[in-house]
Amino acid sequence: MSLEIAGGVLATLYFVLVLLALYSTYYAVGKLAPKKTVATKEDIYACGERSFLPSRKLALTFFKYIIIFTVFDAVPVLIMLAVVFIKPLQSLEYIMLAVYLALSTVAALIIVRR
Amino acid sequence: MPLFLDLIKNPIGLLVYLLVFPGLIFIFIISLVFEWYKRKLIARMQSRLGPTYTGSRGILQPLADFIKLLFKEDIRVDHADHAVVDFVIIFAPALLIACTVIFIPWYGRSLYSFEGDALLLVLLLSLSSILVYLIGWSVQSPFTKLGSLRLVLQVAGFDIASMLLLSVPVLETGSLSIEGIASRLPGVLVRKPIYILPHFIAFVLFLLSQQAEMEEDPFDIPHAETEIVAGHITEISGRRLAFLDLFKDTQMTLVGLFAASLYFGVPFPGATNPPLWIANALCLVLEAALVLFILYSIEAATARIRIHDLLRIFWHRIIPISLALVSILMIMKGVWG
Repeated sequence: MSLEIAGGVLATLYFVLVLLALYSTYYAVGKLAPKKTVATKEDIYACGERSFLPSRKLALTFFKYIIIFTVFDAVPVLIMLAVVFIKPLQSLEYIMLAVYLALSTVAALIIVRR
Repeated sequence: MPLFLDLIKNPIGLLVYLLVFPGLIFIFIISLVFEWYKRKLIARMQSRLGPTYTGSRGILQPLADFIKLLFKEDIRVDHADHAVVDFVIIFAPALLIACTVIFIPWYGRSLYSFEGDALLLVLLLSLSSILVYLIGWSVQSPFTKLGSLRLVLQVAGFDIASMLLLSVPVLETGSLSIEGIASRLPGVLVRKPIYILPHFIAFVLFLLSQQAEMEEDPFDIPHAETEIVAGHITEISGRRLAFLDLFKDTQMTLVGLFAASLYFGVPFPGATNPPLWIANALCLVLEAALVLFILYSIEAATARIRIHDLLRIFWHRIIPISLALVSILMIMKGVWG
């Protein structure tokens, strides 16, 4: 296993570990916290008025969100391409750059088609 | 050689690094200490005392607040997508804590570093802001909707400026990794003092963009209390608010450490023994405290501006100045190397 991949795996595992630590804390305190006492507390705050917005689920998948974020953040593409001129890239960096550009292209195509 | 390869020979050392110092526990503690520092400093600047009751000089107050919020009643309002809120509340602080431990060159070397991690960190900081936008957008309340729209507009203002200003230390040192920048920067500035002026201007502008990123005065527009209650976090309470506060504190810590790494560097680059590692880590924390001192001073001394004023400041002033700065620096780089 190359150094880059080993470091990337370690970083990812650590992120998952932190995520699990936070999730278990969140879950545990949720079990210990007092349960609701007054039903009206679940109303949305509206300065004393009745809330008027209809209930709906958020219709946004994380994937769509990521590609839209990626394509609108165009400056990183330019800077990442500039890296090529700073030093010769390693194989993993080429793969990351290629994935990033592919995502941007997909996002651009989706936006153009709409 | 990457630091993790040194540490991996000693599994206990690696575990201590990941969990204790500068790992999860240390980041949690230092974030709360910086929160206390902020409250105390701003209070003093505004002729108040700040926290005094819990712990010596009130230093345990942020911890007490965190624990109190964790065990308060968990109110989940109707008309909200709670799965999205829960996801963001856990994912965003985890992302920032992991980045702080992995990419910041605590020992003069990062645990894991590659050419482009500075860029990745700026992207992840912006991503975390947009994740918080999802909280406001998931709740069907006019206040949260307005707050989250303001937040996204704010990101459109500061994000490009942050990226451009990141180019200044990148060009000076010829590296896109945080470790590379932090270790080469002091030497570059000593050898070529001509870079000090553009470096200083970039530092000031970068701090302004980070102030907007952290939504602090004068850029606390997404949660303007006098207009839209608490904006995108109006309906967040209990353990969710505790985690959101943790997110804000870790974001503040990461911004301080990141700015310190990019614009001050570390005194002993490539250190291979523990005393120098500790010296580097201590120096980095002090530099971060200085960065946060400047940011808190701005917060204490200014009043909130309007969203279109923020966009005007960034798009009409800071971004053109940043572009000019990068161009001038490239010319200087061509002339002086």
